[in-house]
Amino acid sequence: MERAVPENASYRDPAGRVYLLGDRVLRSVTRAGAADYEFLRDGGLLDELASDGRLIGCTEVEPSLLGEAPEVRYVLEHPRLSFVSYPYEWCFSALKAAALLHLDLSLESLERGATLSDASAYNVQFQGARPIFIDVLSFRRYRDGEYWFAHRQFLEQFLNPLLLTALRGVPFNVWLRGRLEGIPSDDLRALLPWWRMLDWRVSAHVILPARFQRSAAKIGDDRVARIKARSLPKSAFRSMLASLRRWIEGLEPSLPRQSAWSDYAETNGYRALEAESKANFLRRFAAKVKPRCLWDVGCNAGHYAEIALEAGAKEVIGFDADHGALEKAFARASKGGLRLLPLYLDAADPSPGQGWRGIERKALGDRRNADGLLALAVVHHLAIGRNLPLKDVVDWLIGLAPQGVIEFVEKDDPCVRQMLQFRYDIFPDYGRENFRAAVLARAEIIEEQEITANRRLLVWYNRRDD
Amino acid sequence: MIFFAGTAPAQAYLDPGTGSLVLQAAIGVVAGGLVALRIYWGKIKSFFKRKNSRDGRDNRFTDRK
Repeated sequence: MERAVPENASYRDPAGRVYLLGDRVLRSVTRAGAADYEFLRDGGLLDELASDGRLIGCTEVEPSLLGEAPEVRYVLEHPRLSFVSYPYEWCFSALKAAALLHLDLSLESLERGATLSDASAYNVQFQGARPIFIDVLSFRRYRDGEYWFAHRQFLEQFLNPLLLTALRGVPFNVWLRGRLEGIPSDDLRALLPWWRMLDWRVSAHVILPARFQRSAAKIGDDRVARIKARSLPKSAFRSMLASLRRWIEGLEPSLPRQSAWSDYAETNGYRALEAESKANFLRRFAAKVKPRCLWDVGCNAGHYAEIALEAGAKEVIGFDADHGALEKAFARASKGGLRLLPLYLDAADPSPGQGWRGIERKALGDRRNADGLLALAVVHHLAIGRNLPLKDVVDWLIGLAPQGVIEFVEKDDPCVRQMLQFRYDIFPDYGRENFRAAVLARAEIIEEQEITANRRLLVWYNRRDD
Repeated sequence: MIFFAGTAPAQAYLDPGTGSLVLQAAIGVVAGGLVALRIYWGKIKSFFKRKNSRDGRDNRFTDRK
């Protein structure tokens, strides 16, 4: 019989943990978590939140599925998510949506006598642009007057990264990837100009916690006892949550108004006819292959992802390194209700495996789930922009999905000429024949087409199993 | 089982961070003060209301502030 394997990202909470059993996702509820789970289940909150799609669904299954485990009281089964993304891969609007979901769930549970025991951004996942909360054991009974224990975690994982981008114009992604716990209030405080202090919300949620934390080392036992003896009235807890919610709802990323590629779709010199023949090629591909999950590497503002979805793709995970483009793609997915999730990716430096033992958060390559690939106008960015050998770039792309479409841009294309204007041309191997050879080394070419006057080439490949 | 009558149990599985707790304790004190003030204010208002109604005056206008 198949054995349930504990999920590496789930070990901190004594109330239970997640297991994978083949394709099934199971969650144990231990003795430590059983009373809270029963309280929430019987009050109907879990079902209600699951039915409006904000919380992942769960059904109780036979505990023996986890084998001999005396401390386990319940075993729950969740629907499996097609893809797991991490906060350091999200764009600003995605992290903001996740923060608002967390606060909404906190506020609504409080009315029902419950609270959330943590505030990990990793407890939120996305289906298209819609956030969904995945940790049912985060909910527990609220005890009157208790502090908001997850406040610091909320600041580090949600508020501080959002403020870094909103107030300082620095994208939070590499910072969150650099520290999985999030951005400490003290670090953010050091980056803010003094006059930000005049905003009482900055004072209350950034500067004061940072200052108190620094003086915490000197805190005496009597002071600790006093803090423990005090309480946070429910009304004050509620207004903390509500004021954070109002604040975050109004935050916008302070990114350069025009990032390099966010207007690419409009300004890249395609004539309408050429853009249409590219779209038609993609439509043929998507209609024939009907990918369950399409990875769109270099998704830009999501224009072609949307075309692929209309033509037959079920879901698209888009990747781009441009924050402005990601915001546009997220807005497109959000507005159109598209099953498109745009994520931040520097393809020359994809998310590594990291965290505890280096496996808590999986490398992007270990989360591959695509059965279709789009790589439009990205090869030259990697091969010329980042000096990666052409055949390695093609090999990596084809390794992402068994079938796909890759676009090749010639050296005399204005885009490539611009990339080379201040550089030595050290790319004698960069050319169409070598590109085709690299594709053919791993795949068959199903169809190919020149789509522009300057000979941009689309190739539809079908990977050989070897 | 541990019983904390009226106090906040420090039993989070996360480390809440002393900085955040000091802040919340302060918010708690301020909020508690506001609640006390509101109760006090209510008492003062009702004291005058009673006085007014004892005078037999129509207090619909005096109450409107």
